[in-house]
Amino acid sequence: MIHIICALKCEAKSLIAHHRLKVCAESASFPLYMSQDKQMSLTICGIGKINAAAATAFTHAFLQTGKQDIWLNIGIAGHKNLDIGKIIIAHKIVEQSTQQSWYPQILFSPLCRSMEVLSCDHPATDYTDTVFSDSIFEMEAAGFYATACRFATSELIHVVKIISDNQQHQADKISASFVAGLLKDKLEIIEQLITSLRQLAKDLDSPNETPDYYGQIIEKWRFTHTQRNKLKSCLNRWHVLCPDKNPMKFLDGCLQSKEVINQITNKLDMFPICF
Amino acid sequence: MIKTIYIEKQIANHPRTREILARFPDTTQIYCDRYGEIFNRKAQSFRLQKKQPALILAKKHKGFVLPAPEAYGIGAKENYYFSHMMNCLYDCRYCFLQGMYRSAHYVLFVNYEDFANEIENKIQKTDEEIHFFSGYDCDSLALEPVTNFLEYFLPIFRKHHKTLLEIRTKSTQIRTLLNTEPFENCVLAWSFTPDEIAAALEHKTPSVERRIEAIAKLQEKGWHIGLRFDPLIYSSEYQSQYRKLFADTLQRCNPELLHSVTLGSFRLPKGYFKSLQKMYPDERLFSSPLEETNGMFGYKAQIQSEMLNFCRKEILNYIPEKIFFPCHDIL
Repeated sequence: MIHIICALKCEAKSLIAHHRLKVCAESASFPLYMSQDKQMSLTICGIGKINAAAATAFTHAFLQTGKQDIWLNIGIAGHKNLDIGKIIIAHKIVEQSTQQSWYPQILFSPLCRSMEVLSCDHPATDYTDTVFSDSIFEMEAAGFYATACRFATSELIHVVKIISDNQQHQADKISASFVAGLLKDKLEIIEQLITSLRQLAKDLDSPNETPDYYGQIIEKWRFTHTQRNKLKSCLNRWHVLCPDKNPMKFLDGCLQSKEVINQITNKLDMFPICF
Repeated sequence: MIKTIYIEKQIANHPRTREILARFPDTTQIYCDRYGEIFNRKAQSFRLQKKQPALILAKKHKGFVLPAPEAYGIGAKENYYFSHMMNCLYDCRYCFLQGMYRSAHYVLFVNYEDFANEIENKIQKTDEEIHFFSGYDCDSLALEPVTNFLEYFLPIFRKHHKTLLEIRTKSTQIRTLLNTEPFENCVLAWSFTPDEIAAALEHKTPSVERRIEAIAKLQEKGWHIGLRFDPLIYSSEYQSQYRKLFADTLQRCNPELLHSVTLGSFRLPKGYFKSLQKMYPDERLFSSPLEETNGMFGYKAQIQSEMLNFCRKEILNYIPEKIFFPCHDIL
C-alpha cells in the first residue's frame, strides 16, 4: 500500500485526480483520500513538521499500515537558484531547529536529481541566507520522515519536492493554481517513482503469519500461545520444504498439541534438503 | 556498481578519501557527521539495501585489532582480527553479517594508519608467534580495486617474520597479489562450499572453479594458500558434493604451498539466525534440521558430527594432519 502526505490540497489535487482518490468520510482528524482498490491513501496534513508528523501517525493508526508499505511526502519547496518546476528527491533531510539528519535510502534510479532538504520551522524569505547552503528548503519533510520511519522501512519512505520559488520568483507570488500546475507537470516522474518503489516493496518477504493448514490444526487441537508460535514456525518450514504435501495426513494419531508439533518436526527432519 | 557514497566530514580530506572519490566522479556524494547515522539506524532493510549498497567512508576510532573468536586459530596462541571494512560485496545466505548489521552498505575505514599502529603495538608486546586475520567482517579482497588494502597492509606484515597474516576471501581480485613478491608469513585463504551449494547460497561470488583458478595462479607465483571449508552446509547429497569439492581443490593445490586447511560447521547466534530467517523466510537453509544449543543455532548434533567426521576423513586423504585445523570440538 502507498501513503502520500501532502501539506496542501493544491499539492494533492493532481494526484487525487490521477488516481481517482475518493475522500474517506470516516477520517475526521485529517482529510484522507483513498483509491478504490484501497492500495493508495493520500492525507492532507497542513503546513509544518508537527502537522506532517501528526498526519503520518494518524494515517498509520487509521489504516493500520504495514511494515512493507510505501510512504511519500510530496510537495513544494524553495531554493536560491534552482529552476521553478524542478523536481527533487531527498537524499538527506536536516531539521533546521535541531540539526538532526536523516538519510532516505534511494535504491532505484529516479528520473530526478537527489539533494539535501532542509526542514524549517518558519517560511524562509531570504534566499541568499547562508544557512540554506545548497539545500532546498521546506517545512514538512523532517516531521514526516522521522514519524514514517517508525512504521515502515526507510528504503520505502521518500520525500519528493518540486521547486516553487527561488530568488527570482519568490514565495509571495505562489498561488494555489500555480502549485497545482507544478505538481501536474511532474506526475509522470512521480508515477515512475511509485512504480520503482512498488517493485522494491515486492522484494520484502516476511514470514507468513497464518501459514497453510494453521487454521485447520488449531481448530482440531488446543495450543498454548507458545505452541502456536512453534506451530507457525513448523508450518512455514513445511511450506519451504514440501509445499505440495498435506501435513494433516501425518497427524491422524495425535491426541495432543505437543504430539502434533513433534510429529511435524520429525517429518520435516526426514525431508531431503537439496541444493 | 556504487551509486552513492556517504562521507564522514572529519575524513573528507583524508588522502584515501580523496583518491576514492576521484575514482567515482559520477556518484552521489553525501556528507554526514558519523557513519552510524546511516549504518546503525533502525527501520532499515538489509535485504533491500543489498540490491544497491552504498559506500560509506568513515574513520574508525577504537577497536582496530580485536582478539579472534575462539577456535578461529591455525596454530598460534595469540590470534587477532582486524576489519578495515564492514560488509561484503557478496551475498552469502549463511553469512552472519546479515544478522549482525542493520545496513548492507559497505563501510570503509580509511584511517589505515591507525590500524597499522595498533598491529605494530600488538607485535611489539609479545615474543610469541602472533596471527592476524583479515576478512572477518568483510571479504578482504572483493573491493580491492577501491580499497587498496593489500598495497598498504602487506608491507607491514612482510617485515615481521614472527607474525602471520591470513587474508580470507572468496574473491578472484588477485591482480595486486600477482604483481607482489610473495612472503612466507602471509596466507591467502579461500572459503569454499560445493558447486551446488555455492550456486544456491553464495550469491554474487565467483564460481568454485574460478576461485580454484585464482589459487593456481597464486601458487605458481609462490604464495601460501589456505583452504577454508567453512561453513559446512548440509544437503541430502553432502557426501558426494563435498567429496568432489575436496578432490577439486585439494588435488589441484600444490601441497608444498598449502599452508592449512580448516573445517567449520554452520552456526549462528540465535539473534542473528532469527533475523535471517525473518529476512529470507523461503530460504531452504533455514528450514534445514537445525537446533539451538547454548544460544547458537547449528545443525542437529548427529548431522553435524556425521558431516564433520566424514569431511575430516576425506580431507585427510589428501593432506597431512599437521596442517588440518578442524574448528570444532566435536572431532
